[in-house]
Amino acid sequence: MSMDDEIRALRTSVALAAGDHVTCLRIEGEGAYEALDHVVACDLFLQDGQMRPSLLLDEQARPFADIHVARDDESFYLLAEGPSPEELVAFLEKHFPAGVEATARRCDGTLLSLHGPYAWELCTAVLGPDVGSLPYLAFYRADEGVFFRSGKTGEYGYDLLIPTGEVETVREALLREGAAFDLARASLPALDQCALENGFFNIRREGRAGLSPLELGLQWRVSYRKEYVGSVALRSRREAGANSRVVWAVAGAPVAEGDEVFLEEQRIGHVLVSGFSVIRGEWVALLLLDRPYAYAGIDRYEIRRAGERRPIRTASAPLINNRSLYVSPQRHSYRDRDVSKMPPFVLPL
Amino acid sequence: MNPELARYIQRRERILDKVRTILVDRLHVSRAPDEIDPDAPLFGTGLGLDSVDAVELLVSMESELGVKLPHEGLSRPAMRTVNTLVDLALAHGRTDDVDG
Repeated sequence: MSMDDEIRALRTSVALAAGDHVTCLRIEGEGAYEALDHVVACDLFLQDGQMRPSLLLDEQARPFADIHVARDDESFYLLAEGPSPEELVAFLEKHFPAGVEATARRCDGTLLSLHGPYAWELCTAVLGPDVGSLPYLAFYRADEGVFFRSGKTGEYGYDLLIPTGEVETVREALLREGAAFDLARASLPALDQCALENGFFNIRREGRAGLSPLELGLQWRVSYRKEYVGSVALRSRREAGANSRVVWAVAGAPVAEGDEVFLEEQRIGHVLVSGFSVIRGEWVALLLLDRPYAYAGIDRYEIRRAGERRPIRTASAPLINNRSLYVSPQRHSYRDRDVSKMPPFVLPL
Repeated sequence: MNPELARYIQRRERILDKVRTILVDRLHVSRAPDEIDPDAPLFGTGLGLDSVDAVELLVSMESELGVKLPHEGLSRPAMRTVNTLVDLALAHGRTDDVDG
């Protein structure tokens, strides 16, 4: 199956992906909250069963890991992308405050993930209504596994932490039941393309550009009210002011990472990430633009490559009008779907 | 910079400021305005709004920026991020109250 087909399935039905790019840790001990609060960039105001996205920053306030932190009574789960499991544990052990009793250990199990406007329905069929009806950014722990409702595609998304001995049974059940949903398997590049289309931060791409949450537009994931790894550098960068900011864009002609962006004869930035959107039928990109030019809705910019000029239009993310916005578990099912009643994936300007 | 582009950016920035003010003053988002990035998600744990806030947000967008939704189907895609609200105001809001 081509990546385009994987993405079509993810945007219209359900796609199953391996979660081996995500590390799941469990943080335990009397000082678990205090230890984690010292390293996680957001305020840890979480009720039992809730989760939220945030970041682990390095000392220069650059993203080290893209995380979801989830509260399980007095313990926490940390779902992290970016560093290897060993690098992640070493980071936490280095930065947990001295004298605080807390341990970080890898969760036993394998992560599978489901994404798509009907992912909730397949989850309900295979894992039960407690999983399928999970609210966004909540999780549910049972003997069969730990089930997180999150995702970075703009569609219903579930990360399923299944005990290793059970994972093949669950995978087979998802594939068997998923046949009625036209389930596809999705690769990591397909997930990354969907994340780009929906404006989700990607630690493997723009996250390695040496930028801080200020330039990346991720201040909503960080706190300025507490101290943590990178907080001093972040405040300092905020006081100095960001000289550039990321902006999404669309283009009819190919766009590549590193292409320079111009306004007339002035270079105003470059392309951080790009990919062809089979859903939009055009190229989508994340630009890093000089601050005075970093706005959506502008069609006067151009990219230049090999002496050639090509127009590019900045736009507000998400770049997809996701079907998951309109599919309701109370009113819809994949079997009775009526595509003709769905709004278009791309709304007119 | 081309004067037309400069005017567009100025207008967009002013509407962005107004949206930020609505979020802080009317919806009690506990952030300084400059912490509210243009692409910050409004709901979930983005800026933490909920379905009750959505009603107040639409009321405030109408009273402060003259935004009238041309049809209800536009409300969901328009209320995803701060920037999509700005797009909504640019397309369906008053043109006179943010120019000066």
